Parts: sequence; structure tokens; C-alpha cells
Amino acid sequence: MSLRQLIPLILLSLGTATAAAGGQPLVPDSTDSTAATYRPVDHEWLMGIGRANVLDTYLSRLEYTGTSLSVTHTTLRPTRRRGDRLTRQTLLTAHVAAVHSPTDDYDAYDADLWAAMAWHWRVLAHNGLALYAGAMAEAGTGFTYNEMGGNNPAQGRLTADAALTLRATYAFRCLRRPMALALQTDIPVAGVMFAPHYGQSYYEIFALGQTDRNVRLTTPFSAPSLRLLGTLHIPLGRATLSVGYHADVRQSDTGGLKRHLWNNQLVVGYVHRVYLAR
Amino acid sequence: MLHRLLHTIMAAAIALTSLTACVTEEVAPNTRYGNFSFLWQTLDQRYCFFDLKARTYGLDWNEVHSRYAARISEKMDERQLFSVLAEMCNELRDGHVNLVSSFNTSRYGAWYDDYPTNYADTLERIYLGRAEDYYASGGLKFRVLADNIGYVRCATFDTGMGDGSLNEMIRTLMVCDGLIIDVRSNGGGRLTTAQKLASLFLNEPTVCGYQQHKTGTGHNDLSAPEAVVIDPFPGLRWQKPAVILTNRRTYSAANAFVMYVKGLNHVTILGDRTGGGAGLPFQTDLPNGWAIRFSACPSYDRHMTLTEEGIDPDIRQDLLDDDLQRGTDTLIEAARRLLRAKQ
Repeated sequence: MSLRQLIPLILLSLGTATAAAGGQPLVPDSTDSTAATYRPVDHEWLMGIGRANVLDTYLSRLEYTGTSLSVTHTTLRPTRRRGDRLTRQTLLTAHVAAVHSPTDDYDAYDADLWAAMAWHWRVLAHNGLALYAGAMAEAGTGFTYNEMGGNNPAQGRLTADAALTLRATYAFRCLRRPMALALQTDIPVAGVMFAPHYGQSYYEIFALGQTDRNVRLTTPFSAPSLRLLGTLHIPLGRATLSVGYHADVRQSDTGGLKRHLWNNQLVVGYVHRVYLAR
Repeated sequence: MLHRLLHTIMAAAIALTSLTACVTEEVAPNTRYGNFSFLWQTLDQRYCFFDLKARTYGLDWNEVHSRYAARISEKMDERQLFSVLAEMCNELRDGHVNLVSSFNTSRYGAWYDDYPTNYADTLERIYLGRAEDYYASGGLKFRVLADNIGYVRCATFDTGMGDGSLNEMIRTLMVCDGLIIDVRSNGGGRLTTAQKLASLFLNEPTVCGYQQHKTGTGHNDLSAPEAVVIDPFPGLRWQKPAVILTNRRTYSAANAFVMYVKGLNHVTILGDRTGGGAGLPFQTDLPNGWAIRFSACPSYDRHMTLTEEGIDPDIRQDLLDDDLQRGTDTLIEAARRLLRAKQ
């Protein structure tokens, strides 16, 4: 992914923040008559397929590209505080990618697992549009295995960070059906990550236990990252179909080692709403 | 007030998003000269023995660049380019530096080609006997020789050695008066396996060497040496006299094994100088799909001496032609005499 390819993604995320000038919250649906006595909780499952671009200069200075798959589960529920204006979201996402060197001589495999919890405050609500802002705490682990790597073929990752999160929803009718758009951007602002030193081997870390200063602080400057998830919710019978786009941009440049994962995926899944008695 | 705060948060988020920059790596193009530059620069930034090579034979890596850049032409075919780049790699005189393509792997072999092998597998078969005559466990072959000396052939450290296997080996050989560990022509493998075998000879946690790694792109950007402390084997240990047999092909992790046990009171190193290979290798790929393997993390013995150029034995012994003709291994016989004398 070049900078030119990334610009639309950034603009889209900015659009997330600027599109909503106020409106009714979509999730939970305030027009839902049952919402007065029951708390609606949305469970969304998404399967994604797309392209991944992986760079990890600890293993190779070349960018590897290939196919990626992901599974994402989010739960969105209003809290009892502040008149349902505060919602809590949990997010669990896993991805795997099989990527190849530019000349297709070597294969590498990349996998990540992220768990996050976010709190969104509804800022504005007007005519079906709603804008939320909030904070997220997330933790992730993963690895990249490069079959070319010989004695040192893999790179492990362990990350925890705090992120700003923006969420916009828009409820509308199309073909006499109620539909909804949801866009969410999560931007890590501070965190910690495990990373080997520039030329440090995993033998030194794990066999000799030399782990001094392997935990580094991250900022948007040393680890500029972004998650963007945009989905369209279409009711189909008793279920709600969810289709959309998921971009995961995970980057770091610390201690002379650079890494990026640019993951662009089309996602499809469903939303399942349950009601909890208040 | 709260709305103002949230708007401020949103503005900060938008600003942060705008700051999100691509983390990328500038690499040379996939041309003949581009691959040459990429290879030279990768070694320049990540190879760990430039200082040693400059001291021992005057290597000047910038001079190497000038000399080889003049030989690169875009009209070269792949094999011609490989030949020139492999020659450049061999300027490092390092057995851990290999250029890998689909049609060839370059290697520097003067560290063993220029010396007698001092090992013959026909003799190994004579001493170990037929397949049913010796034990084989954990990558080791061993038996008790006629004079009650235990002989252990360790041909590689590529495979792991389980605690159970080593425990049973010592249990089998514990009646012996002495032990021979034969690591001739052992080209290395896992350092952790070499450490485990060395732990059989230790009685307490022991500093057996030191390890460094590159911390930056400069030739001397190296971390502070960290001690390699090996704990004694948790089961049975060998406290009687032992002889380690070495030759010029005792390399890499096998060189490290010799480094770990050399200097222990009950251990004698016998044979030829080891081949060295004290840089833990990394590997990375070139724009044209070839790969380069290189020494990245230097290791030192317990006296902070680099063992990249090999380790001298306590007793120098070659395999004699007359003995070879008679089916006798000069080194094994010298070790048996030494062990019998120490009884």
C-alpha cells in the first residue's frame, strides 16, 4: 500500500468523524419500543477476506504481499449511566495472512489476535445520524514467520495500548427497509510493545533470558496505526446482514526496526440483537 | 463543557489520523547494480565481525565496494552476477556467509579445505560397529569400547537432545573409566543443544562465554557482552575424565560446545583447531529473490576472546595415514591412552 492508497483510507476515517452533525443513535436503536424496558445488545460477527502487505525489517527489508482472512466479533451495549448515552463495546479480531516475497521465492505467514474494550459517548444525534467519541483499551499478540529466515525465522509481537475511538452511525430507509451505516475508527495514542533490539536474536531473548529494554513505549509517531471498520446493516428476515470494509494499519518504527501490516478486507457477517431486562 | 471536551478529543483524533504516516523501507531496485548495492549495504549494516576481519587480514569493506562495483554490469546474466557477488561475500572469510539462489549456494571453505580432515567415517564404523552394536539416542551414537572407555559420536546439533536421552546415555556409560565425545566434522546446529550437552560436565551454574548483538548500522554498534550462564544438567553428570575430539570442521554450535567445556578441569580437547563460526547467523532476502546468510551476533569464550577463528586443542593430534590404512583412528587411540593414564 502506497501513501496514495492510504490517503482515501485516512479521508474515510476523517469522514467518520465529520459526517455526523447530530442525530439519533442507531445502536442501540432509540426508536425500538422495547428499549424502554430492555437493554438491546448487538452481537456482530464478521468474516473478512482481502489483501495484506507485510514489512518486518527484522526478517526482511522487502514487502511481502498476499491474501488475508479475518474474523471479528463485536458486542455493543448501552450502559445504565447518563441515560444510555454511554455505550460499551468489546471487540475481538483475529487475522491470518499468507504472503509472498516480491519475486515469489519465499513465503511468510502473519497472524494477529486483538482484544479491545471501548467506551463511546454519544456526542450528537440528529435525524438518524449519531456521532460517538470515546476511548479504547486494547491488547494484541501475533507473529510473522518467514520460511527464508534460517536460524531466526520468526518475529513475535505483544502490544497493549490506549486508543481514541470515533464511531458514526446513520439510520435510513431504502427499498422500504430500515438500514443502517456504521463507521468506526480506532487510533492508538500511547502504548507499550515488545520488540527485539536491532540485531538481537531470539536465542538471546528466550534461551539466555536477556530481555533488558525489550519493552518499548509507543506513540502515534513511533507506531502510527489505525483500524477502520465500515459496515452496512441490511435486515433479511429475522436476521441482519452486515457487509462492509475493514482496514487494519499496524505500523512501528522503533530501535532501527520497521514493521507494517496493511490489511484491507471486504467483510460480511450478521448482527444478532438480544434484549436484556433492565 | 463536556461537549467542548469531546470536540477537542475528536479534533485530536483527526489530527492524529492525519499524522499517520506510512512506515516503509527504501530498498534498491531489482537490477544487477541494485542487488549488488542491497547485498553490500545489508552486510555493511548487519555483519558483526568487520573489526575482527580488519585486524586479522586488513579487510576494508568500502574498498571491497569500489572493487566489486566496477565489475557489475546490467548485461551480466544471473550466474555471472551470482559469481561476482559470491566472490564479494567470500571476502569476509566466514563460513556463516552464504549467498543462496535457486541454482547455487556460495560458501567459504578455506577454513577446512586448507587443512587435513582428521576424520574418516570408515573408522567411525569400525569403532561403533554394526548398527545393532551401539546405542543411538537423542542424535547421539555411543558404546563402551573394549578398554572400558565410553565413546560418543555427536555428528550434529541440528536435533534437540531430550533430558531423558542424555540421562540414559550417562546411565549407560557411567561404569566407564573415561568418556570420549567426538564432535569432529560436526557442522553445528542449535546452540541450546550444544549447551545441554555441555551441561553434563558442569557442577554449578557456570559462565561459559559471552554474547553480543548489533545495536545499529555501524560496524562497531554492538551491545554490552552478556554472560552465557549454563546450569548443570538436572540428572546424572559426568565427573570423570573426558576427552573432546575436534577437527577443522568442528564448526558453529559445535565450536560453541568446545568453547563451553574448554578449561574445565576434567575435560581435555584433543585433535585439530576447530573451524570457528562464532557469529550466530541471520538471513534475509535480496530484491531478486536470492538470500544472504551472515554472522550477526558474536560470541566469546569465558575470557572474552572471540572464537570466530577457531579454538586450539589442549593436545594437537592429526590422523596418521598409517593408522588410517590399519583401520585405527589416531585421535581416538590418543584419547584412550590419555584417559587410561588418568585413571
